[in-house]
Amino acid sequence: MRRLLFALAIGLLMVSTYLGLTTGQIAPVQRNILYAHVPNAVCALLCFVVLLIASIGYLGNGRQGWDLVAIASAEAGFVFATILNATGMIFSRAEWNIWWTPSPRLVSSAILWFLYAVYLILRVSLPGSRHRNARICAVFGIIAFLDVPLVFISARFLPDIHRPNFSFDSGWQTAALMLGMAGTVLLAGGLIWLRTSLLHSNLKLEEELFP
Amino acid sequence: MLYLLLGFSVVWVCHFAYLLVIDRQARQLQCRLHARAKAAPADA
Repeated sequence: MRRLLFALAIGLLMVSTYLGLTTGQIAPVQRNILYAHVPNAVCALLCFVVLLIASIGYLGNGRQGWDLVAIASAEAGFVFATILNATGMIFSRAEWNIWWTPSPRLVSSAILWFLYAVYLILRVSLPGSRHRNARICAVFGIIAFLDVPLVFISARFLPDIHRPNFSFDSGWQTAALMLGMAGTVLLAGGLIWLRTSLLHSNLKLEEELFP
Repeated sequence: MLYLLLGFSVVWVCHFAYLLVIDRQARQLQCRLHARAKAAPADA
C-alpha cells in the first residue's frame, strides 16, 4: 500500500515536471520553478497543521500515537520548508537578481524553517522523562503554529516583493501545478505515515528491551 | 535555464535524501529485530 502511494506520488511529480517543462511552460523559463516551489510550500504549511492537530491530541489524551505523528510531521515539514526556502531563493535570484530580501513573506517563511529546526532540536535535547518532553514540544508546536497564518496572509495584506497569487494562461499550466500539488501532498502523507510506523516499531522494541 | 535546473535538482535531492534517511533507519530497525530474534531462543 505504501509502495503504491510512493509510486503514485513520484509518478504524478514526474508528469507534472514534464508538463511544466513542455506544453505548460511559463515564460520566461525560470518562472517554471513555481511548479516545484508552490506544492512544497503548501506541504510545509500542511505539515504544520498536522503537527498542531497531533500536539493538541497529545495534550488532550496523552496517547503516544499523537506524539509520534507530531515528530513525523515535523521532520517531513522541515524537509518541505527547506525546499520552500531554497527554491524561493533560487527563483528570487533568477527573477529579481537577489538571493533574499527582508520582505514579510520571505521573513515569515524563514521563521517557519527555524521553528521546525527548533522543534526538532527540542525533541532530541530536552532532559527528563519522555512524557514531559513530549508535552513541552506539544506546547511549543501549538505556539509555533502562529507563524503559519502569518506566512499565508503576509503577501496578501502587506507590501511585498512576493506575489500573493499567480494567474495562468493555459489549462496545461493549471494541470501541471495541480498534478504537482497532488503528488507532493501524497508524498508528504506517505512520509509521515512511514516515519510514524518506524517510530512506533522503535518505541515498542525499546520498551521490550528496557521495560 | 541554469536556475530552473538548480531549483528542480534541489527538490529531487531533498526528497530522495530524506527517503534515504528513512530507509537507513528502517534497515537499522530490521537489524535490531533480527538480533533480538536470534538472542531470544538462547535466553529461553
